[in-house]
Amino acid sequence: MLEVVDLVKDFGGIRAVNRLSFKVEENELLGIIGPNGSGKTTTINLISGVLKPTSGKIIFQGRRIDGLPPYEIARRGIGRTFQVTQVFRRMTVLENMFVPAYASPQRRSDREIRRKAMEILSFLKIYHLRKEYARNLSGGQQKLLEIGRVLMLDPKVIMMDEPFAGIHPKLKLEIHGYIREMHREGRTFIIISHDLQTIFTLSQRLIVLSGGEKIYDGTPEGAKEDERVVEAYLGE
Amino acid sequence: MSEKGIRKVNLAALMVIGALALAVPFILHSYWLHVAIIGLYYALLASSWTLLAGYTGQFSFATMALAGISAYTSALLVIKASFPIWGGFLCGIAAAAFVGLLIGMLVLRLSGPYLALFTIAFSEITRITLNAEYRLTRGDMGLTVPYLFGGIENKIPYYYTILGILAASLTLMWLLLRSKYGLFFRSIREDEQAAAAMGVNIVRYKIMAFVVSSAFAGVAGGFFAHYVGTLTPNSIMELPRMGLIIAMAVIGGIESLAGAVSGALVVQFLQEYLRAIGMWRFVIFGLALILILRFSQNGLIWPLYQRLAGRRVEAKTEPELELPESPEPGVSPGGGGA
Amino acid sequence: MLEFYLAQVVNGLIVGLIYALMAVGLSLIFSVLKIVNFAHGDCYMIGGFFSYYLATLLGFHPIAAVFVGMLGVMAVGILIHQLLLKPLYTPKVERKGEYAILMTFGIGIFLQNLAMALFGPWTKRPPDFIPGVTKLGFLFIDNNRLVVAGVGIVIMLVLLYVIGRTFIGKALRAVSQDRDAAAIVGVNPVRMNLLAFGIGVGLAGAAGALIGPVFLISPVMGILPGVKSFVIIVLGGMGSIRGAIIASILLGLVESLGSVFFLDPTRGLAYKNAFGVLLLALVLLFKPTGLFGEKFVRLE
Repeated sequence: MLEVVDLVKDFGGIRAVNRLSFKVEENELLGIIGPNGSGKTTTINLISGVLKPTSGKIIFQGRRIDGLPPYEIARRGIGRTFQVTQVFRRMTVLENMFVPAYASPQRRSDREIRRKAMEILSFLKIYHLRKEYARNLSGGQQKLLEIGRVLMLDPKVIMMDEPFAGIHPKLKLEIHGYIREMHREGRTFIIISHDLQTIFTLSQRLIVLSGGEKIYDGTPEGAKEDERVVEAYLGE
Repeated sequence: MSEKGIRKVNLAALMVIGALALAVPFILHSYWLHVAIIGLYYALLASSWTLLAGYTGQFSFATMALAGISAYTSALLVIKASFPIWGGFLCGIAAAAFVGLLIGMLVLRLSGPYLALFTIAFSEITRITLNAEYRLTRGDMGLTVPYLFGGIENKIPYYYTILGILAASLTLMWLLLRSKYGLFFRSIREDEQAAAAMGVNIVRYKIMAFVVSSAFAGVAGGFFAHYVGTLTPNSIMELPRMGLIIAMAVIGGIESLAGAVSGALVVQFLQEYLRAIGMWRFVIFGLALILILRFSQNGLIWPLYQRLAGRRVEAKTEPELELPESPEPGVSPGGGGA
Repeated sequence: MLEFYLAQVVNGLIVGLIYALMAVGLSLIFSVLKIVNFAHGDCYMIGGFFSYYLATLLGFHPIAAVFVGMLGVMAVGILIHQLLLKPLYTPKVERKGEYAILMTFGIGIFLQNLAMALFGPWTKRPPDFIPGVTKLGFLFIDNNRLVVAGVGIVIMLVLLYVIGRTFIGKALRAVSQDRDAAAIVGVNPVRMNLLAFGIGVGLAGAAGALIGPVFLISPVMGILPGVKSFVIIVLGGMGSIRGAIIASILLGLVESLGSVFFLDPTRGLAYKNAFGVLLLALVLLFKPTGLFGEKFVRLE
């Protein structure tokens, strides 16, 4: 459903992503790993429209989306979270949840939107915080809120940038469980992580980037034995 | 206190203030009525600035310049092209909104201090140009503008006019801000990148905030032109006056319309009340601005009222809808906020 | 006629030098603290008043008063920094960008009103540095302007030496490039903030003190030069000191020559002040990083 073809991104003289191509099928759970500076976050930023590719194509459900503004890509069903949590700090949890719902081109009634927000907040077990200002939430709760907010977009693809970085092990397990559950409901995931342990158990398929290029694409088990992957990580 | 209780307190406060506002011409006379009229004019300007800066996070310094553009458009159309006053007034608002649209489109890529620099530059260009084109505007000597009600001896009609304008404007702004557009404005203020990732067309809503805020500044400017009778560029749009408007909004509470309005009225009242100490009163306002920013970034008057009204300062307006019952049994509906 | 144009050029250079003192100060503050000091014009104004009162009430020689006045403004800057700006670099202040803009703007308003209250709104004429005029070739130049040029150049050279050649300068540049890295190698960024802010507003104060005997002083004298120093640092590239100096001289020349070409002298004088501002607007729109500048760094 999502296809990246020969994607290139240059920053000044530095090539951050080099002729990257891959496909993501519907309801796949794809992990992307790679050493620092291998182009993982740049790839997500390119797909979500925060950055414009130097060349190459991004095709989503048969249509090109490269060059579209980020809000347009979000509306078409590709949601994302950020490496450093970016919630709307001076808005309540509920208001955070309402933004994507009201920005969406689908017309839903206020009641529907509210019910949906409540459902998601209950699912993530932060319902009791719904009237709190987001800035009063703990770091982990903010992370959950960010996931909830993406769900309000009702996205077909969810891209998560380091969802397990710097959080309590218990919360890590929790988020792990939520991703599994959302995946079971039919959503497609692209997850970037440094946390090899978690990503190996979570993802169905793994792409390894190094120096902006794809050096491996296959099963997580296979990656452990791949020479180039081992070399990329040992050489770091 | 429960949310309903607070709503009752707010409603009661609003009614008391409304009744007082209507009674003012029976209590105050001539000079003090003038003070009240100018206070309401400032309240409109401060709330239009708050809509842009406090809600949308766009720190523009062009509010007074836009009011000035509206004032001169209206005045010149009435004088040189024999427009009826209401016609000039509407054209003035349109001119301010249009210039606001241009500024909004131009500054999209500028943020933070760049936006402030640009709008200060814009204000100064406008003021200098209006002064320089003295053949048309009579510059510092002042342009004589026809009064809204023929003369100025009886200030009561002016008072009720600006009171009505302010009430209508605040209602419109309030409706806008509690709708989804207000939600988008605030999401842009909080984090543009995240707002865009959530599907908010930030370009469109930033421009919208500029246009709406400019139009209300234009409303204030048009009224001012046909109230004071003699218009000079400096009497509307010099930078220290912009500073006064900002001080009013900050003292009242930058994140709410009620804060901006109460700040404007309190500062304007004190400014007249403290006339005996001369320029020192402006020193006090400047100091108040600095101290409030330093120690109570969310303002003084409005947060204080909220505390008195029993609401936690943190928990602000609950959005428009009533909460439905909790979506599934067993989930605690207990709230942290109220 | 040639004499007239030459005189305008000399005037433009002197005004450009004054702009340069201010703009370099503003640029230094921006590059180290990452904030725009919207009170800069008002620091220039208090420099003018400090040296005026030092000369008239305390009997300082007017040239000595410039230097003491500059120190006085530095002291005010240090006070402002310690009380109001230092919290910006701690987690105590939220919405740092907003705080920095409103706070420095508020300080400006406060200083201006304080000057109004203390000194009255009228313009004052500080005593001459050296009375009389000097003949240079076929040009007659007011001695005060020569002093402005001489003292201004000396201050500028000392500053360039300090920034370019000394340890302090190195530390300042290190903080301006990377606060965290500078802290790791043992430079205290907060102390460098203090230093940069003190020197920065001190330069504005020196400019105001120098210009006094030439253009008179008043509480609102800082507004236009303040706006112009914003213009200059954007033209020269935010944070670039070399860029600020070049842009200052250019603006001084453009203003004094440009106004000559207006047919209507009243308009010419009025629009003279608009040139730079118009230029600022255009540069901001088409090249927001200025002609030589670094990218703006967010504080958050």
